[in-house]
Amino acid sequence: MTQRSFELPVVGASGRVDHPAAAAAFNADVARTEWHDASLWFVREKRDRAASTVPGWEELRARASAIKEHALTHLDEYLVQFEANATRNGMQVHWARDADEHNRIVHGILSAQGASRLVKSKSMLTEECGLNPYLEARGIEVVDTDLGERIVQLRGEGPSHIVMPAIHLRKEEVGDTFHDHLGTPAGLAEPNALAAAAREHLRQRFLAADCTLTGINFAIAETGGFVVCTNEGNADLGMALAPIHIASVGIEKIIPRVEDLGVFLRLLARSATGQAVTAYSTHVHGPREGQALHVVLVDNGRTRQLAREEFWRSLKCIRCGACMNTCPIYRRSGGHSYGSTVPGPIGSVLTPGLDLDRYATLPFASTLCGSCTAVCPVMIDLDTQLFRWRQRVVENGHVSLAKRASIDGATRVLDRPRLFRLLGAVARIGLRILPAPLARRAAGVWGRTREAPVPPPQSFRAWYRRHRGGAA
Amino acid sequence: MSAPERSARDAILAAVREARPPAVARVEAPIASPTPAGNGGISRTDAFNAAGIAAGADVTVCARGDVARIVDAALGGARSVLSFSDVTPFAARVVVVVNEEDLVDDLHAAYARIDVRAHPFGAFVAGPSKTADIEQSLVIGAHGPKALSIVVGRA
Ligand code: SF4
Repeated sequence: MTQRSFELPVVGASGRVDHPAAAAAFNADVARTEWHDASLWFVREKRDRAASTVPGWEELRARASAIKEHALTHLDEYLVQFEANATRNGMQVHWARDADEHNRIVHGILSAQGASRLVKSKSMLTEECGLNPYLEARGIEVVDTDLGERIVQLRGEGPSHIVMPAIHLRKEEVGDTFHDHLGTPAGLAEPNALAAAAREHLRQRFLAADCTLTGINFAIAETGGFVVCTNEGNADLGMALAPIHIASVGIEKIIPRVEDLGVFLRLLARSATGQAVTAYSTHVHGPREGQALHVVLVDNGRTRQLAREEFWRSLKCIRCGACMNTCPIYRRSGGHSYGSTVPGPIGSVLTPGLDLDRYATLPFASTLCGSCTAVCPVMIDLDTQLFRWRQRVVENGHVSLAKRASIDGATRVLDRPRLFRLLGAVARIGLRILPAPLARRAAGVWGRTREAPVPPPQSFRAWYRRHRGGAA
Repeated sequence: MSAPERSARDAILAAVREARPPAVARVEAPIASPTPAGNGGISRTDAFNAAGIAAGADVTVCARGDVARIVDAALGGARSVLSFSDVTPFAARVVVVVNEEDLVDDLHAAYARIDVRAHPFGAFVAGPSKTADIEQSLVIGAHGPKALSIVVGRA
């Protein structure tokens, strides 16, 4: 669907996403990897400072989690309630089972009105649905207006992060892109100047647009309204100008009541960027005078995830991106290496649910350190879910032959105490006599960047016998 | 709604009903907030002022006005203004006038006081338009207002 800035071998010959290969390619540029890692850690630290200033932060997280669990376990009721109230507010509500239905609905709305110039604010759902290429192939001009989204759109890439879409790019690269597409002077790389050029370029698109499309952060069942959060105010600008407004939303974004917003808005921006709240938290409860307002409710695999006893809680996600910023794997492999619209820990839990074979490497893109779970504002047990997906991957035979063989081998050894002891002795001798490079080779991937350990003179079992002998 | 969309609707709702995990009970949303006294005796206005300065908005306490309500002014909390005017996204500079008695401690208190349904459009505005999409450098005025001033009216 989209290309990558520095071609990563994301999809292997088998048509499967090969996260390790893509991560290795990203890591080949050491300077970029270190800078990427540091940029995200900086955001993680801002999040920590923001969270620590809020009395009752943990209580807020617990409430947010409980509200979402309540909403998801009564989702049919709240969807129907939202639909009725939104309709009463003058919105037209549409339902789409999958990406294709979503794209056809959006295109249908545009073509019925003869609209051909669409400005979008950030919507990961439309990325997930591949809306831009779908509309472009049908003659619609699509302009992403979030600065980061616009940068990657001009480069023909997808976002590498759900909150900071261009976090993988240096300012010089943005300068080159703007020079090519917006005619900024060659070599201009100062962020203020680049943003000013984008502001002018996008202002014209806003004024010319005959339709705007936004995402939705929270859809409120009780009132039939919704909330869109941005820092740039680009969603507001689009909504205020265009005669048609389409808002696309995943069905899991429904919350029961207005008062729930107090909890979520206090958590969202602090978790995302360390700000107290986004610059614009916009509540929409109906079309402007003369405007047509459409809401498209999209399933696209969400009901399947809801049906999975082990994974339905992943649908609590409010897309803050905190789990990405803190993840040691994400920070050092870049968002594109996941081959999934939503990368990082939550992406590795959600996307395998769409196609386990294709995304089988993603649950392994984790150290299982649990840092994601610790920061998640809605308390999703991400590391546990990643671990469970690994089990499903192995059970369903989606692992490589080499991994399969080593798992089987390990099972056989661990099942046989005698064999285990024998191999332990062999390894202790081997480690002592083998030259270091050979010993590291024998350790496989693990040994590639590590020194082989110094072998102990005896096994733990022998040591135990000697010192605690008789007790055993 | 078209026939295919109606069948999509019915299929999605049926799938949700089928999938529904065991019910989790409803919880109250607002959590107890520190009262102004709990803020170490700092008034809401002072707390708001301090938070506003940190956010890049200039806050002035002076003449009375009646444009918007200011929320989430708990010390260390967010500072933002609820604006029901949809011209705010265009202006280069926005000035909002608020009554001091409309200052509340946090978003929970704000939602308890306002009726978001009453207007088709209402935004909590917490500062000028901004972005950090280029190398995490903060740029003010990505699209909308380049400056936000808040005037707190005191009777
Ligand atoms: S899983 Fe949690 S931390 Fe990750 S994006 Fe979603 S809400 Fe944020």
